[in-house]
Amino acid sequence: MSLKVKSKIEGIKAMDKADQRKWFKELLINNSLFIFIIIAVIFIQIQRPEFLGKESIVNIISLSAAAMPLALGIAGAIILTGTDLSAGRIVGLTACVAASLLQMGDYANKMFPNLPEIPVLVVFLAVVLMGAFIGGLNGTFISKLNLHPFIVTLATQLMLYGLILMYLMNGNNNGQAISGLDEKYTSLIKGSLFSIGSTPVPNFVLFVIVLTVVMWVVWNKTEFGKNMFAVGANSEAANVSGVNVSRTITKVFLLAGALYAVSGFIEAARIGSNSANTGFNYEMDGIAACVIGGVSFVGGIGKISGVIMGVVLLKLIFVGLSFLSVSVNMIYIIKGLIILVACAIDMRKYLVRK
Amino acid sequence: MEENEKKEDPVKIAGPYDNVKISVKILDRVIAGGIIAAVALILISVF
Repeated sequence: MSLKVKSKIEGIKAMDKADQRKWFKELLINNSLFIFIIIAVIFIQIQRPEFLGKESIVNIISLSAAAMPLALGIAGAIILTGTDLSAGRIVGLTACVAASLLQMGDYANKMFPNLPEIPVLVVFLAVVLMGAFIGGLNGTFISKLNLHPFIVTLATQLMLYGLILMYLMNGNNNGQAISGLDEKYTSLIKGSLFSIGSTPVPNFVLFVIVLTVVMWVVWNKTEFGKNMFAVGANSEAANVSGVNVSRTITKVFLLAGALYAVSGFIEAARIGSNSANTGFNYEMDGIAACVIGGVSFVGGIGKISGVIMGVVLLKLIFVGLSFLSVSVNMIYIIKGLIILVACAIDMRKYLVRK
Repeated sequence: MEENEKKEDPVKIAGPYDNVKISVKILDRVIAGGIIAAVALILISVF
């Protein structure tokens, strides 16, 4: 047992009965959402024993991996006491652009029939640059004009939706969903190098694992990461300490935009048919996952492990509810309640600390 | 001199929940209520 855990247990033993009861109550309330989700998972498993089968686990892992880059981007914005409502639409736009540039050469409804074959990597870099550019614009408006992220990203979201609708009218497409993707692209994302049991795990899960490790290094081991937490905790104090607050905010949103583009690139191939609805409301799931994972709206608080936990638990409960045949309408209500409870827990932690 | 020192103190800015006028007890009820409602909705949907 580690020294930290040992000393914590000794500290609890040294408390009197009333303090121990108070400590236990705090522990229960602060982790009430996790407890709820774990009990729900056990309940679903009893009702539907196939829920935690290999196929279902691979499905949950795949869904979580697809949502992870977006959640990591939004987490950065929340750490700065902001938010990003444009995330889903950036995913949608980058997914549509990636799909339109990587359609099969002989596909009848190809958006750009005369387009030569473009290497997948070039399209990937192009959409990541596009996402970073949009994110950078968000960041510039927020940091230079001192506007609230909520308003800036709301405006960006609307503009991007308009752009997606216009983009879908291009060439031969006439507003239809973009499908018929190049096999090189779909096999890169959906192909599989290894399996769990006999169920293949798609390649994009591996890409997302690598990306998450890179983001952990960025958050915890780089000057930029430390500046991000410093600005989120107290921007005035960070400024006094010599941190370039404006540049840090711009960089966080730029990085977030690039991460949404990665999500878009994965989503385009994963779902195969991309319309104006691709990415719709994804930001809500991302924000919910971050809040559940302990990324605080107070600012300056959040861990990569928390974001992973939040994303996986959220997918686990919703896949589980689908297993129980709970209607989609009801799932929306439950999702809203979970976000509300997560915010109340976040607020409670802050008030108790104060 | 004292005034100057006060001015150079690290600035404390308001957090998002600083103006919240709500007790921890009420938040506890909100949390419990939310979870009970979610559980009830799941049970109603299943049975």
